Amino acid sequence: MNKDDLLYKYFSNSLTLKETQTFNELLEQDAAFKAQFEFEKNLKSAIKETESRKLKARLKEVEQDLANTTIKPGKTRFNYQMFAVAASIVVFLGWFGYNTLFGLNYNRLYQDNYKTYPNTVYSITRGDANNSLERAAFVAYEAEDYKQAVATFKEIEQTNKASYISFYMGQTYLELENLEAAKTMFEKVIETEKDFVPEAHWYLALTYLKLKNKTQAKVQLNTLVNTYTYNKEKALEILDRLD
Amino acid sequence: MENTNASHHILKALRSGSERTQREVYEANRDKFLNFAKRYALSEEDVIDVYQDAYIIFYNNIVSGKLEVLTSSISTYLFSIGKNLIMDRLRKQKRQLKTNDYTHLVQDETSDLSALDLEPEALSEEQELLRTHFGTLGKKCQEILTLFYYRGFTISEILEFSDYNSENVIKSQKSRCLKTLRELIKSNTI
Repeated sequence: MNKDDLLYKYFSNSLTLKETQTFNELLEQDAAFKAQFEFEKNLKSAIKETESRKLKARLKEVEQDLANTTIKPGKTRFNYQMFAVAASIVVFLGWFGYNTLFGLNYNRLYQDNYKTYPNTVYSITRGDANNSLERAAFVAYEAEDYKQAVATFKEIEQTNKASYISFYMGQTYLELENLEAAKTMFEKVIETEKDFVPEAHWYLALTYLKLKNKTQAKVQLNTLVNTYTYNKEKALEILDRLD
Repeated sequence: MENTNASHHILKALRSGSERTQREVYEANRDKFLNFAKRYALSEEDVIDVYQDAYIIFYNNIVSGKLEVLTSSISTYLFSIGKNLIMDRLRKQKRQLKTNDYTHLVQDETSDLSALDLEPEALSEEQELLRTHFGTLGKKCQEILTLFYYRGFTISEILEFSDYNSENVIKSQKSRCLKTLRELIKSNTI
């Protein structure tokens, strides 16, 4: 192996153990070899510095960019923009895909918008001595034991016709996927013209979505949007999609 | 830690010189670093300067092959390198540390820092001269020498990467470039 090859292998980190020995011997004994080695080693450092300076210049440009795209220096608007762009692409592609490839995906619309309504009417406190049916029903509801809840709500309904009972029964039926029963309950709430009427329109619309009844879903959403503020934005969004 | 496929890809992309990845990694760790450096009495401008220098040192360790596998997150490496640079800077400014030094916590996480270059290399006079004249070489020479000496490409890798026809052409081109550089230096010294 000649001296050039040894140097080549040194700089590409591929000297074998034996070659390393030869290499070290040459360094000690051969002044010309040593000079050539020093020259290349120095060149390596010089190039590293050249590249480091180039990188430094690039990083300074990055900082400049960051400062320009940010309202307040140093913070996160860049990320928000990226996120917004990414999100709108996802929404667009997602929607575009569903509409063109599969037609309207009712189930998806339902799932995107459906959230179980929280218990806002009956406060359950620990150690509560009240063993009323109503308490039992809401305990079951909060525990997501909807079968138990619906059984108890049915009993309550015999004597208590308040709209919130119907509303939570509707919720419970939705959870149990008894859509016709849910529909009846939400319609009852709307008839009372008392509490939970806008909410009932919203959930009735979702029920219709799940039943793939576009016309009726739109009727409910339009009523909601035109009369109430509850979930107005979401309703408008769905209406947009349904058109 | 980040020793997953993702970090493997990042290292590979950085080593091959992807400027996009360079920028992404820089931006991804920037806020963390600025936050980490808050405890030292340095201006934000200084801290950004230190972050860039730390990033360059980190990057050079990857390129030189000294850092082949990440055993900690990238930010941990940057903190450790940055800490050294900050200490240097503070020493020069003869300022006291604002608060206690917590960075030993950082260092503990990184086991193999000893193998890495943690400081920027100060060039000797001769190296400085080489750097100046290297900059006056033709583009092809600069490219081939950078690939070989900085990126550590073998001749056959350079062949793949460039539009040269054979390894021999590359070898003789490289020798010619070295010779030119020698002559440039000779004619400009004394």
